[in-house]
Amino acid sequence: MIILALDALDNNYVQKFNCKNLIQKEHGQTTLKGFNQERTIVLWASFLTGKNMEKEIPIKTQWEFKLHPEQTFLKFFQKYKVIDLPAFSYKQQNHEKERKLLKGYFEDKVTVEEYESLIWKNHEENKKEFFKNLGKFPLLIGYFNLADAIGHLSFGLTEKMATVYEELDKIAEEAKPSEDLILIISDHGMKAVGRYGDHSRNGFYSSNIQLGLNLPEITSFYKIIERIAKNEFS
Amino acid sequence: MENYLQELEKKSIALIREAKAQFKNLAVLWSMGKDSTATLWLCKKAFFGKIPFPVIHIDTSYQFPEMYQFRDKIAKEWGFNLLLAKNEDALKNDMSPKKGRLECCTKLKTEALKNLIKERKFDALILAIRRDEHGIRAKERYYSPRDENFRWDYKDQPAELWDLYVKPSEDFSHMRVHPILHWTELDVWQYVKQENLPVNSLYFAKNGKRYRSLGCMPCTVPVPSTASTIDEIIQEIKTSKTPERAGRAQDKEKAYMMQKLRSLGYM
Amino acid sequence: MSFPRINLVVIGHKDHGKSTLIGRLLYDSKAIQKQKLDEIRAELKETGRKKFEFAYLLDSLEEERKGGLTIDIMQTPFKSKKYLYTIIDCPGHKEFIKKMLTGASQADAAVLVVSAKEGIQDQTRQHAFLAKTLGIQQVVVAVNKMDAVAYKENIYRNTCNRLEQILKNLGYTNVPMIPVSAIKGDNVYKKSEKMNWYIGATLIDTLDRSITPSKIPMNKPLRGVVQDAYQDENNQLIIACKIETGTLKPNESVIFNPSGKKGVLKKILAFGENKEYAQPRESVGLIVEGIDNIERGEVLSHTKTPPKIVKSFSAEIILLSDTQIQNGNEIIIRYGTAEKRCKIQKILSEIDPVNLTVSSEYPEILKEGSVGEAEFTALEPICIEKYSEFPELGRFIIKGKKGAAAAGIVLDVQA
Repeated sequence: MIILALDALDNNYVQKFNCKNLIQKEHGQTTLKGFNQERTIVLWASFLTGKNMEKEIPIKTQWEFKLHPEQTFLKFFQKYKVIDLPAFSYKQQNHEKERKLLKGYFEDKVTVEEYESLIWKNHEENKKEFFKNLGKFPLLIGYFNLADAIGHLSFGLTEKMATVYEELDKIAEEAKPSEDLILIISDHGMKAVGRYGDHSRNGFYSSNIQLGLNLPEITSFYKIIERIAKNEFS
Repeated sequence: MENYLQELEKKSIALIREAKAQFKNLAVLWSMGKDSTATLWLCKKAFFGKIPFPVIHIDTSYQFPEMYQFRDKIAKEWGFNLLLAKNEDALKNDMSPKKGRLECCTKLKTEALKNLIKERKFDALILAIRRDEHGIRAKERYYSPRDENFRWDYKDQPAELWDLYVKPSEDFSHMRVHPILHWTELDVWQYVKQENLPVNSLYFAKNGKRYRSLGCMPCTVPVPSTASTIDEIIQEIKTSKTPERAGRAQDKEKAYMMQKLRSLGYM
Repeated sequence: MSFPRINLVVIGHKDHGKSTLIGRLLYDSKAIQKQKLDEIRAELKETGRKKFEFAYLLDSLEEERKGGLTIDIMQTPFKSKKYLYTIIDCPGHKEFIKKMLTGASQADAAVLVVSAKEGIQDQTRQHAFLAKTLGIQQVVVAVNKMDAVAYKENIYRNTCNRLEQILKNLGYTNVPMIPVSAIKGDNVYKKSEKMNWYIGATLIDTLDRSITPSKIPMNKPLRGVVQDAYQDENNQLIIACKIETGTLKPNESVIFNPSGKKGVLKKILAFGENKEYAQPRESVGLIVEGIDNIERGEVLSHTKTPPKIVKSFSAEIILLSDTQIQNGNEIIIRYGTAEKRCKIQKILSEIDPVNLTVSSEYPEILKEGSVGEAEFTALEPICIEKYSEFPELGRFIIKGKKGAAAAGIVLDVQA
C-alpha cells in the first residue's frame, strides 16, 4: 500500500487544476468537524491514531510531538517506510529551517524566492527518497508539504500554484505503475487571502479502489487501513 | 451651506454633545488626517469654539515631518489640550517596522493608547471612522463598546435605535463614539472645502503622487495623482474607482497572515 | 452632487434574495468599485462557486462567508437619477432581530423582498409587521426570483394578491409591487424583456417616484431636548439643546418640562454667531433669562404650547435579546435625552408577529424577541408624547445593562 500524504492539498484546487492522477477512482472532500483549528501536526497525528489528537498536542511543543508505532495503524504492518510524516518521522531540521525563513519573510529579511528555493530543495529530497523505496515495503508513506509551504506565501498567485499541483500530480502518476493500492490524503485545504494562503477546511482524499466513503473524517482512515492490512479489502 | 452637508453636520454635532453629556472622561483621537481634523472642527462647533476635552495624538515617532508641523500649528491656533500617546519603552528598545509591521503597530499604537487610557481613565473616545472606508467598518455603530483589550464584538453589538444613543451600565471598558460614521470620503472633502479647513500638504500631488490617507512614513504609500488642490481632489474622487486604502491592502493581508501562522504555531 | 439622501431598509424572509437584490442595486448603479468586484470574482472562482452571487458583496467578514448569511447591517450609498440611497441590509435569520431593528429604525422606507418561487413566508409577515411597528411609512415590494418561475404573470399576481391583504391589515395601502429577478437583473435597474405583461416601472424608478425624503418638521409646535448645560466665562448658563420640531426665535417665551422652568429666550448661540432662529435637528446653545440651572432630559417648548406632564402611557414594545418584562417591573426608559423611572403597570397583549394576531391577552410576562402592548406608569414626571403626534418624542427604549433592551412606540398618553 502507498499513502501519499500531501499537506494542504485542497479539494477544490485539485478539481480546478484538473489533476488527473490525484483524482483517482474514488475521490472527494474530507471533513474537519470536531477540530477547532487546522493544525498540521494534530491532523496527521489524528490520521495515524484514528483519534482526535487536538487536546493532546500543545501548540508550543507541537513540532517535536512524536507517536510510537504501537499508537498508530503502523502496528498492523510488519514492515513499513514512513518518509517525513509529521508526528512520526518528521524531519525536524529541514522544517525548522523552513519556518525560520518564513518568519524572516514577515520581518522583511528574506525574499519569497529564498524561502521557496529551500522548500523545493527539501521537496526534491523527499521525492528522491520516496521513489527509491517504491515497491520495497508493504506500506510506504511519502509526505510532501509543497502545497502548504508554497501556498502560505503565494496561494493567490494562480500560475505558481498550478506548477505546485502539477508537480504533485506527477508524483501520483509515477507512483501508479507499482499497481499497489494508493491512498492520497491531505490534512486540510487552503484558501487565498490576497496573495497569501490560509488553511481551509476543504481537505482532499482519493483512492484507486472503491472505499464507499462520503465526506470522511481524517480519523476514519485508521479502520480502513487496518482492514487493508488484514487483507479484508480485495 | 450645501443642504446635505448641513444635515451630516447636525447629526455629528448632536452625537458629540451626547458623548460629552453621557461620559465622565471623554477624549478625541486626532491623526492630523482630513477625517480627524474635520472631526475636531465638529467638536469645536459643538461647543461654540472650544473643545472641552483632551485631543489625543498617537505619536509613533515615525510619522511624516509635515504631520508634526501641522499638529503643532493647529494645536496652537485652535487652542486645545493636546495629549501624546507614546510608547517610550518600546521606542527605547528600537521598535520599528523592521521588527515586523504588526508588532510595531501593536506596540506603538495600540499599547501606547491603552496605556494612556489607563493612566487618564478615559471612559469614551471619539474616533473619525467612516462606514465607507472598508467592509468591516460598515458594521460599526455610532456607539461601539470595547473591552479592556480593545476587542470589538461585532456579532453581538447592542441594538442602536433611532437617535437614542445609550451608555450601557456594564460590559465595556471604554466606549468608541463615531460621529462621522455616516460620512463618505467625498463628503469629508466637500466639507473641508466648504468650511475652509486646514489641510496637510501631503494630500496634494507632488511629482505625480499624493497621499490619500496618512500614516507612518515607512508604511504609507502615495497613490498616483495630479490633484494639487482641494477641487482637483474632489474631482479625482468623483471619478476614481480605487478604494482609499488600496496602498495599505497588502500590508493588512500580510499582517493577517502572520497572525494566522502564529496561531497555527508556524512562528 | 446634492442628491437628497434616502435610507432604505431591505426586509423579507431569509433566502428570498435580499442580499442579492442589494448586490444588484449596487452593481447596476456602479456603486461598487471595480477593484472590489474583481476581488470578489476571484474569490468566488477559487471557492468553486460558479455563478457570481451578489450577496457576497455584503459579506465582508470571513466568518460570514462561511455561513452564507449576511449577519449585520451594511450601508453602502448608491445613486439613482433622483436620490442618493443608503441601503441597510436586514438579516433574515431569526436571531438577528436586534440588528434588523437597528437598521430599520434609521430607515425612511422599506423594500420588502418576497420570492415568487417560495411565496410569502413567516419572516415576510414578521418583517413587514416590525417595519410598521417601528414607524416606517413607505414600503415598496420586490417580487423576486421571477426567473425561477419562468417569468409567469399568474404567479406574480397570486403573490401580489396575498401580500396586499397582509399589508392592508398592517395599514399599508397602494404599495407598489415590482416583479424582478435580482440575480439576472430583470426590472431592477433595467427594464426586463422577459415580462412584457408587466407595464409598470423598474424597481429603481418606482423607488424614485414613490419615496419622499423625511420632512423636516418645521410647522409643528416647538419641542427640543436638553442635552447638557455649560457655564460660559461670564458665569452665564448656556443650555445645550437639540431642536426636534418647530422653530425658535429670540425674545420668545419658553418653558422647560417637566420641571416647569420658564423664561424669555435671549440668545441662540452657535459656533461663531448669534442665530436668528433655530430649526429641527439643530444642536444649539440657548441663553434664557430667568433660568440659571437645568437638567439634561428636560423638554423645551413655547410657553403657550407645552407638552403634557404624563402620568401613564400605553405603548407597543419589541423586546430585544436577553430581556423580558413582567407586570410590576420597575424599569428605566429613555426618550429624547431623558432617562426616567417607570413601572410596567400591565402587559395588555402579546402579538404573534408571524400571524399578526394577538397570541395572548394580559400575559404576565413578555419574553425576549416578542412584541406586545403594555401600560406604563411614570414613577417620576415625564414628558413623553404620542408617536402619531411627535414621533421624535414618542419613541423610547427600555434601558438594559448592555444598552437598549427594548424598543417602544407610544400609542397613547394620560396626564
